[in-house]
Amino acid sequence: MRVCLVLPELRPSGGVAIALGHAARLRERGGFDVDVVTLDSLADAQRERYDVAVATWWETLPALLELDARRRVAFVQSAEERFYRPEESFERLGAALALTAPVHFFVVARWLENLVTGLRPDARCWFVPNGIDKSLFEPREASDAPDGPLRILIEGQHTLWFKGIDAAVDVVSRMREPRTATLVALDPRDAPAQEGLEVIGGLRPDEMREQYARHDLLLKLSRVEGLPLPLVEACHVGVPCVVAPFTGHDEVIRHGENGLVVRFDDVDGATAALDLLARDRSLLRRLSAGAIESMSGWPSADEAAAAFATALTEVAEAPEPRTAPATAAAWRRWRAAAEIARTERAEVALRFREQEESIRWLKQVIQWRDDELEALTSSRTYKLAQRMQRASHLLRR
Amino acid sequence: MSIRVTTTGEPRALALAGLDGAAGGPVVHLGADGERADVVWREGNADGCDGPRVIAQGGAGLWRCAPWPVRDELFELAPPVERNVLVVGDEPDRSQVSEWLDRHDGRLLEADVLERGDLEKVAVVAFAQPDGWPLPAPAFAVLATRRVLVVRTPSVSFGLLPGIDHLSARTAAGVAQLAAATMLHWDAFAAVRAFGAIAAEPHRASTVYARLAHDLELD
Repeated sequence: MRVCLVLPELRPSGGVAIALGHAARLRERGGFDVDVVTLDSLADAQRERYDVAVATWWETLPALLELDARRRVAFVQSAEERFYRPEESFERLGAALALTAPVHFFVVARWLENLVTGLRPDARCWFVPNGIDKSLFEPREASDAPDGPLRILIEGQHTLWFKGIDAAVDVVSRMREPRTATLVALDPRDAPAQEGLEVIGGLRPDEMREQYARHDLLLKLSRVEGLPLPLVEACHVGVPCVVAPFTGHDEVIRHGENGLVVRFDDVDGATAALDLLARDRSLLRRLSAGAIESMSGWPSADEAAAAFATALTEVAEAPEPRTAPATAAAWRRWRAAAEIARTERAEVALRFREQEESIRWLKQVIQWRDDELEALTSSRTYKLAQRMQRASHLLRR
Repeated sequence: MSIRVTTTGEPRALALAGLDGAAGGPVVHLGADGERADVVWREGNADGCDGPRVIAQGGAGLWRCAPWPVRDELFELAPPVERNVLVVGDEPDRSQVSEWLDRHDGRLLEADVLERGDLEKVAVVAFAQPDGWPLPAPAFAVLATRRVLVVRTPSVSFGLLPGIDHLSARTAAGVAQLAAATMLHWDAFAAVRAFGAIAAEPHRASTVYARLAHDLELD
């Protein structure tokens, strides 16, 4: 089967690594001839004919639709519209439209499967789990979890608002118990500076495994995730996780078994959870053992690649999704975005009018002050005082 | 698995945020009073400095900061039949929203507080809380029932993303405008309702109280 995998770029990120991993394993399996292309290297692929073309990341959808392929698939690794703040409304809409394309879908999490099948009942959706290299992320030795300061690992790119790195660093800083903290980012530049916070980045998978092994827990307070692979990796190594209830957390973490789930915007609660783990090492060890146990059924990278291969085979035989329901879905997303934008515009206009009113009032105050000053300096009393001051200076000389 | 927590409180609070069946264990009291409970879960801002462990959406000295859980059965509530909007809040905040809506669309209900029965009659719930308040305690019940939640921009949103899983506006007129748009273009907001239900899932009562029981055991 000829397969084309369309990626936005090859720079390292979780989503790109997963797609590249599938491509490599499909090639090893045999029966799949896989081309990997990026948005700036499409020319060759555009001259080819494929059985299935698969794209990941919303910006690759136009390229996917233009490829000559019998079937097209969006490989959905998160609901990407949530990556953008309200003021980034065009990016939000663009990402939202990815789920309205006339394609089938592969998804990496059960919650995404529920979302996509609900929004696009006309298309087919395959759950393709993220696997893990079990020989690399093997459990650490029990002695790797000593007493002493609680060693906290924070994972995520701090420049992405939805990774919640500032919140995680803040929570750690409020702890009463002794601790150390390490932030692992893709790109460690411009990381938050805080005393005692070690910042590292650009790690290979084996280096990442080492970091898990030398920490007591992984702290992840993201606002948005797809299927957070660091939680899976950490649990495989035997590192429990303290997490916010972001999407996908419940597909990995079970409160009190392999980690603790704290609440969004509950700084004191999250701090208390960390302090508790710092004090109660038997709880930490129990969660650590639970982390390893909880991952016994998690698919390996090979098993995940097999699921990906099966999904490719099935989608190649599936009927093509109809264009009309996809187009209708797109128009609906546009309508919702337009209505939200209309309200935002009205509120911006109102704020502008309020600012104008404030400026007008300030100008009146300044004018009143100028008038008062003018009245004062032109009064006979003021002029007399000035003359007396000058006379006083002359007498002193 | 039975969850060893018993919920008490006003019938209205229990209908929205209680746990089915009392299984002994610590007592969690929802709403006002309940000073003798192990945990009291207040609505709105609260002072947690005195008395038992206090959970609320804002305030000083809280044991935890969180909205109310969502009673499990609410996740199964049938989709709305009528495209009514319910405006919830105290006066004069409520009137600021409802008067605008009344001029544009008559399908309007009003209430001081959200009740479970209201959710069966409406498609949209607009909270007209004053500026700078945290998200209302029962906000996630609205999302769980796949109704559209519209709020004045809250000081604390408990993980909700405006424009994605709910709608928010700075002004009362903005809230009214969004509520009206939702009723007029119901199908266009299917994704907002779907994301809302996903956002409500971690607040499912059986999940929240099981975690709370575990935390109380360790506390």
